[in-house]
Amino acid sequence: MTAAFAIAGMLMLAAAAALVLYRVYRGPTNLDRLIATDILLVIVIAGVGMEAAWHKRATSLPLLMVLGIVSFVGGVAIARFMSHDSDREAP
Amino acid sequence: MTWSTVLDAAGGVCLLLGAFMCLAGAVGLVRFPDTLSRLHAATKPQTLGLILVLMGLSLTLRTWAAVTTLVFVGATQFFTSPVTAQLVGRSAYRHRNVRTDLLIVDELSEALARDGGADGDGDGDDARPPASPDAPGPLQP
Amino acid sequence: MTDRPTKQGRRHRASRRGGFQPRAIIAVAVAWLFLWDRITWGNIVNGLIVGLVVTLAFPLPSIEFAGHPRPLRVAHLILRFFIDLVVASIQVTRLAFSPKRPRNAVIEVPLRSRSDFYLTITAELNALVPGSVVLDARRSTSTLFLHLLDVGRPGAIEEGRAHVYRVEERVVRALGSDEEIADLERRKREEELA
Repeated sequence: MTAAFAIAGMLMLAAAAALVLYRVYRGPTNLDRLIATDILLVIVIAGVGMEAAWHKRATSLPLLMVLGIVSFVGGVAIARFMSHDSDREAP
Repeated sequence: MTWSTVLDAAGGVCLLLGAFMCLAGAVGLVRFPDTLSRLHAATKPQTLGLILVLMGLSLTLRTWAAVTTLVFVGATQFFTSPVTAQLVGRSAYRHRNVRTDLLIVDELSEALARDGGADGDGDGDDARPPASPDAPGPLQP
Repeated sequence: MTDRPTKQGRRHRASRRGGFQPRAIIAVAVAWLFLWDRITWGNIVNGLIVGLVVTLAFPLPSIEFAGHPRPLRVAHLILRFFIDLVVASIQVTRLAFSPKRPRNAVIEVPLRSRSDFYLTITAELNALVPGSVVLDARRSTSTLFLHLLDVGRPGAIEEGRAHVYRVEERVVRALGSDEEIADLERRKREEELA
């Protein structure tokens, strides 16, 4: 039963990831892309969690933690880097 | 109907709700008109969605080792997502990536104008306030 | 954000930095136990050693914190926060699927308490509750600048402002000392009279 829930959830996450990738492609500024990749990492974390629930095994749990910390450090580093120069693109 | 069935069902519902929240955040990210609105979509549904997925996962796995790890992951997300959001929001505002035509009130640019652009914390990243409300924002599609 | 303090500020900061920070060490040790999933003497000792090394190698200014946590009120704060988070997510979800464009606002909220600690916690909690994201904060005056989502209907901006004050009050009541709570009450009464 959990497998059915997990697969349905994964399909939703796949749709979400597609939408987020569209935003990464569209921009229009790098800050939008930063927000989008931040969401993408949360979706990846949720997806790994779904997989762990599906197979009922805890081997991938440390991966969740690493992904969470990577998303934070990466997001802060890029936001700090971009706060120093304009990231507006030519139209 | 045993306990494990009930817990599995509750966990499954949590997983589904969490996935739906992630999807809602993604839809908001695509549909909202400017960077700051998108920031709302990035913080709230994502945090709730992740917490729900982690809750569903711990209801499914049901071991203390898993629960402690998942609490840790959730706490990390809870403490870090507002920090990233604030950095992005600040940067977006100061680079005028704001659709001022969508704002009803804008007290930050008033405050920045009042202090002559200095933001009072002496960190040297003072910025000019965004363009006046009648000027079109830089993100006009 | 960038640390570019004046000479005086640097001296001030240096005096607050470093040294032995027992609270931070215990926090790191608890996190270490969470990572290892198992409470053994070895893990506890290792966690304390890691905490000691981390706080000595990467010292942060210690936070001035005079209050003491009240368990019931902290539970109330956390419970209210989760209710708010769910409400906020539903609001954003509804807005994401609705055809209308949100009308937004940026507001300035000078907090009633004067403490970096409460400023930080209030900002953290407000970033995740209905309709607000913290854009900027000023330590000198304990002022928050928030971006409010979808405040098209009348009275919504005032409601957002009142909400920030309610969160702040809950934080101070949950964690503050008796004087800080009395101080907050006094300011509140003054504002009501004014």
